[in-house]
Amino acid sequence: MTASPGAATANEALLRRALFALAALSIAATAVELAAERHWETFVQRIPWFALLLAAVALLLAVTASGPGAIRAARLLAAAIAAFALIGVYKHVEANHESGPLDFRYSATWDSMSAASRWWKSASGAVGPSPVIAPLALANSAALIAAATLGHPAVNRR
Amino acid sequence: MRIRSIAAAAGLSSLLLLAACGDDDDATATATAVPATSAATKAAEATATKPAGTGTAASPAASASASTSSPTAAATSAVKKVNANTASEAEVAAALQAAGISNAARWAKEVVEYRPYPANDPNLPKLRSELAKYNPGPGVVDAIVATLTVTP
Repeated sequence: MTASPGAATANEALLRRALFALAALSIAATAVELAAERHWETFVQRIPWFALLLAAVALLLAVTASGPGAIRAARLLAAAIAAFALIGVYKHVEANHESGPLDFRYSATWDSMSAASRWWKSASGAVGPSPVIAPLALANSAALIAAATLGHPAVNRR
Repeated sequence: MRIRSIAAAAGLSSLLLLAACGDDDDATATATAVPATSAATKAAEATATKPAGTGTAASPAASASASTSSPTAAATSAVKKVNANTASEAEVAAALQAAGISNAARWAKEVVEYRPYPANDPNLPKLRSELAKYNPGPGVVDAIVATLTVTP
């Protein structure tokens, strides 16, 4: 049994709206989490706020898409936000790595450990205060926005 | 086909969100999994290598690692204090070094990073909570705070 073209379009529009709503929720939740963590003490800590601003702009562009240009811009911004998320993961791992000697469990042995062991402990959350995967919340928002633009009717609009 | 693509992307997005949340859980578990025996061993080693002090001005509101009988904290009681809000990172590092705190330069970086500190609270609760995230040894946070002042 196949759905009629009209029904498929209605389902598609419904799914798209759901993705927009989830993207908005993801952006808001990430902002609340960053605020709760007071993630603004240093310049680097303010970068995710900038990424969230980009995400809000991308979402607005996608929701109010007036033409293919807006959709392309939203996708470009989503890609940039995903890049920020990956940079965030790296910065968190790096921060954990730098704080390794401060952890009393490793203060005496950190320097004698192999580089691989140190980086693994930093990346796996065994040492340091920074949650390694948390920045991917930004990538989540970006993925939702990008997904909502798939097959967007505005792409074929002239 | 479009609907399938959108649904697949939404699924991937949910997976990312779950991964992000999962990391926080792991971090919490790791942070709380500090072996008590290691802490006790460290404290015992510190006691054996440092002379008995006369106590410190550490506050009872300190973190779990705070201990007024900590030899590290006691060793800093005679150290000249530097201003936590205005001293340079090098000055803070020198003060921490003089207090016998290991990784002084790295701790100094943290002290400077979390400025400013309220001038009406010499116990530096903000700094204490930030430093506690690094899982320092017993008495280390007290020792660091003991080298700092917020009064001009």
